[in-house]
Amino acid sequence: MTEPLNPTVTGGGVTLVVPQDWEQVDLPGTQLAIAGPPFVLDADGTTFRPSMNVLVADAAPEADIRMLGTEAVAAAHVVAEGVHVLAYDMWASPDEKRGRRLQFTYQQGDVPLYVVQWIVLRDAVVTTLTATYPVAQLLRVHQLCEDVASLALGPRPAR
Amino acid sequence: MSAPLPRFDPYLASVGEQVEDISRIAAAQPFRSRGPSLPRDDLDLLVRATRAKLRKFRATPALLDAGLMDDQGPTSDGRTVARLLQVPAGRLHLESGRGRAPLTLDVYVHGTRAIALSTVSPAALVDVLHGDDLLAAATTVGVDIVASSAVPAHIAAWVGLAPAWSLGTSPVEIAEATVMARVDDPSTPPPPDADAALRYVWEQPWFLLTMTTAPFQRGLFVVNAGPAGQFVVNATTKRGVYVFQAFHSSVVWLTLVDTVALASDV
Repeated sequence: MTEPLNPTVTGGGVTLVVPQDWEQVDLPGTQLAIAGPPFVLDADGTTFRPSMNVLVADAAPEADIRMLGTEAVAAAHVVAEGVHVLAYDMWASPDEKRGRRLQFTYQQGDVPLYVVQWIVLRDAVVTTLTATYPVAQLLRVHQLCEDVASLALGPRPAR
Repeated sequence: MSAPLPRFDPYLASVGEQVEDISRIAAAQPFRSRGPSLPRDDLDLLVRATRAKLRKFRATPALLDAGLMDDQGPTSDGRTVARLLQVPAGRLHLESGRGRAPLTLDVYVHGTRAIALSTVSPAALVDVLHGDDLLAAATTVGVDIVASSAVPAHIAAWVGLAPAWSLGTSPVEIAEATVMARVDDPSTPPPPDADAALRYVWEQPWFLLTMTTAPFQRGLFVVNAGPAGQFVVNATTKRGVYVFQAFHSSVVWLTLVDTVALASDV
């Protein structure tokens, strides 16, 4: 496999490839975060930056990805009023029974947002990678975030 | 100490796959129109009243309640609604063939803004409607003005799009007459060579959804099989034969986003 040419950043044992025009940002409560260029949402100049962040936590010895996934769905429903959970599947990592991908949408003010969350349980560590961006930007950003997630959690070990 | 586990999907557990039950998510996120609810005829009257230069139209109680007309005629909000319904736009029309209930969602996309007219969601109905209930469902619509980027979520909620484990069913090719008979009548038997997964899908509550678009042409023909998820129905090169296979909700979602984006360019 060819090594990516983009720079990488590492936090919590997870390495993210930084897409072109994206940069590492400080997001309290996360081990690592990157954000893209501001996307102009409205004629009034409102902008929103697409972002991805990493949360890493020790898992209890008896932790089970099925329970972690179920808890992620429950947590999504309380992110905001009117959350719509769209999709949930085993994530196609090499060890897919230990990964889940959750997709949901909700409205933040006037801005419809889309969230993809990858949850991986490996070696008693649960890693949650979350991508958030406006639905209006989805067709431009969706595959890019999938690629970043695959490189971070997929073919190469997360830690 | 044993691991705490979630409830398992009953069907998949019965065939030896102990995966979490995600079939109840749909019920937790029902469709809600946030705008006024009006008889369709009242919207026609609003449009005529907005166009009229000489004749004065009398507002109906529903138009008055919704603030779309007053004693003087259409209000500012009423003129906005009428304009969005009249000016050329990208259009999406969704229709559910659930029993005899003609449930529809019509969306008119104007660049970054859209107006949606929705009847009751087919996903919200426990039973097929009859009589006055059927008439009310077909003739009353919720009116929502939303950002065009909110349209995919509006449609997703109306069609009851929700997670489901993708089931590989066999046979993939099914006689058109058999699929359509099953849509109309749940007692229709599955194809004789149906595997266990297809028999399970066959037993679930179904409703049919079609989506058509204009002026660009795109069509989608989907069966919502409740906890078994969505199944896309496509014609084949064989006359009278459909392809019937699982359509993962993430793909349905991307299709909706892409289709609305196309409509926004009109």
